[in-house]
Amino acid sequence: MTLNDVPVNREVTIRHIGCTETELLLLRFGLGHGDPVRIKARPPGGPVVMEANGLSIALGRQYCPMVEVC
Amino acid sequence: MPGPSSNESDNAVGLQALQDTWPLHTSPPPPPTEWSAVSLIVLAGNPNVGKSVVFNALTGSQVDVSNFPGTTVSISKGRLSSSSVALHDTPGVYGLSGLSEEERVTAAALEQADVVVNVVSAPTLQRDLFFTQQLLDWGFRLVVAVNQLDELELNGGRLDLDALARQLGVPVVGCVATTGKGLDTLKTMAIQARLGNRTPGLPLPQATRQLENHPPDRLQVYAARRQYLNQWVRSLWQPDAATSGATQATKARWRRPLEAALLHPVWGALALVAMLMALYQFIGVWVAGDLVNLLEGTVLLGWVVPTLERFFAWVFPLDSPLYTLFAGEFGLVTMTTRYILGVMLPLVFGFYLFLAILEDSGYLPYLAVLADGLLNRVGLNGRAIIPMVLGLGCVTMATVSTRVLTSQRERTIANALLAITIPCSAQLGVIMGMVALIGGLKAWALYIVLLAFIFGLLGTVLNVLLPGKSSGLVMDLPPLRWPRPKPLLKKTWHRSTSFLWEATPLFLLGAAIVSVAMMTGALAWLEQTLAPLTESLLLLPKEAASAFLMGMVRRDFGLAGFYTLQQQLSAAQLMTSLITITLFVPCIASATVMWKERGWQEGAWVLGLSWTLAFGVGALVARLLGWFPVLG
Repeated sequence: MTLNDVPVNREVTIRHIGCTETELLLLRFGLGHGDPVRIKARPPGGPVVMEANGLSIALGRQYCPMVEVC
Repeated sequence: MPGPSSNESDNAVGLQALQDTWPLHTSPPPPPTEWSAVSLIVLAGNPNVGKSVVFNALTGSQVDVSNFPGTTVSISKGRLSSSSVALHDTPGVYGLSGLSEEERVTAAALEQADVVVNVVSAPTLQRDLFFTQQLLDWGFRLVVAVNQLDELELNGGRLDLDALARQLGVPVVGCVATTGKGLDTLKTMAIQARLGNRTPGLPLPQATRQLENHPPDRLQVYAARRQYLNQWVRSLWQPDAATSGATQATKARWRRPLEAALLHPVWGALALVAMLMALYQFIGVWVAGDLVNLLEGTVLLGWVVPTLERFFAWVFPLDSPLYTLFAGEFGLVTMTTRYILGVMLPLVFGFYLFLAILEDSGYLPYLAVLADGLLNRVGLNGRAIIPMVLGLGCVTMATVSTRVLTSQRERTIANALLAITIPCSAQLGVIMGMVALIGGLKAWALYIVLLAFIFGLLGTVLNVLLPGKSSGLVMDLPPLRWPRPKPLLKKTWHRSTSFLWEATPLFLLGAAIVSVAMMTGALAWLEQTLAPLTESLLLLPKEAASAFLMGMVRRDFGLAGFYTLQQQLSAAQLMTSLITITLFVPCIASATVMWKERGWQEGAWVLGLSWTLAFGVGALVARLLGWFPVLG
């Protein structure tokens, strides 16, 4: 399952990030393998907004298929 | 699939390889700096942590401050109050690996610094310390300012700053920059800046920098740094935080449902519509209607302008060229006083106030998320909404802020859209005043729909024609905040007076050109020559040529020209004028900045495109409104 498949308000754990660029971007926000995130919003055609470590992070749809969660 | 544990072991192997290749730092940190050795302090930190507020407080400057990432796009320079030490403010960045223009600008500024003041935000400390640790790993002499402690308390948290100082090995100062709390201590502590503790396992600073600038090694260093931070960062929160902050936390409860609503496709869209209606009511009805009527109609036309005319009639003969130049139909003194003070200033002040409320509340990043899907279709991502909304204040300022966009392709598209389709505050004010005369909300809605259509069309064409691919959105959303009245009014006043300084000489120039053209007969000749354009193409009276002439100096002056002609124009003609002049050439200041930022070639094709679109779309609108008279 990737970030694109998670419904709003569901909490998931990042399992694998399959793209170096996405991994670098998320590491800067304090997110990596094993970190829990809660999906906060998913506007149509827009980014996935996730909540983690007290931050709300909008991640463009292009990056979401690279982030595997469980 | 690798899980957390396998990832840790991968990192361990990678770090061992690094340790084998590079020497490790083992010596103790050097002693504190002397004041005499400090000539430049640089402020650095993540976006939206309050660096510019700290900068303003320490230097007495007035750089722009807002509640969204990317407000500062270049280096702001000042001096520490009552000192010869220079202080530079850098754009907010999440790291220093040259991934964006802001990172390159910040890295270059840091290289010059004797001392770096790293501003972090208490509520987002876990994120912000990644950059702090990178600064330490790269060997910068550091003091850490933990800002927004009030915000943390409001959320029910408390930090152990002593423990943080021990972990980092550098002085840590807690502060609330918006109230000035802790900033005097920060100023005196700058001398205590030191090198601090680096991430265990990473090589010496120069080698770490080289590794991080080399993409295959960067991920390994990043992972090691994040892993190291995660080992101790959670212990900084004091154990009684949950109970001590509980009462305060209830005060911030309104945020969560409101933030969720602004991100919801339906409620978020309704909030946008409500915001546009509030803008129309505030600027179009109250400011452009009531306030401008009072200032321009009663005060200036009723008292000030007749007094000025009497004065010039006393100095010069009524039929002399000098009287015409200073107090005639396009008189330098009378027309400038009337439009700048009676029309432009109240409209610009009102608009900047509204924009400042949007900026300081933190609404714009939420709008960026909602608009991301639509902006993807024109080759941009949601982040581009910030320069676009700033363009509604001043296109010149917004052109500079397109630096926040990642690729050259995105900047080219954003610049073209800004220069051609985004009206600035001075224009918008006059437009709303005129729209109120021809059909109120219906005309306002028609104007927005037409402009949005042209924005979409132009963006789509550029997205198809320009080579390359645009980047995706990655952005953190700040918490919503109640804007504080004092900074809000200060920012509005500062921007409005800047507008006056920039616009008044240009308005005088425009008025002088039109006056001289009128006296020499050139205006009549021009009106006659441009008649095929104004009368045949745009279906406007030939006098519209003088408005276009003024519009070449600034588009809002062109609108002011149409404002004078409004009695002679039908509703359809007024709408045609509004659309044509909105798409007309950008003002001299924004054209100059565009050439500087994007080069003369790009500037030239944008100007050519704006003329073609302005008259092409104007002609189409004139005919459509003739066939379908929706404005009556």
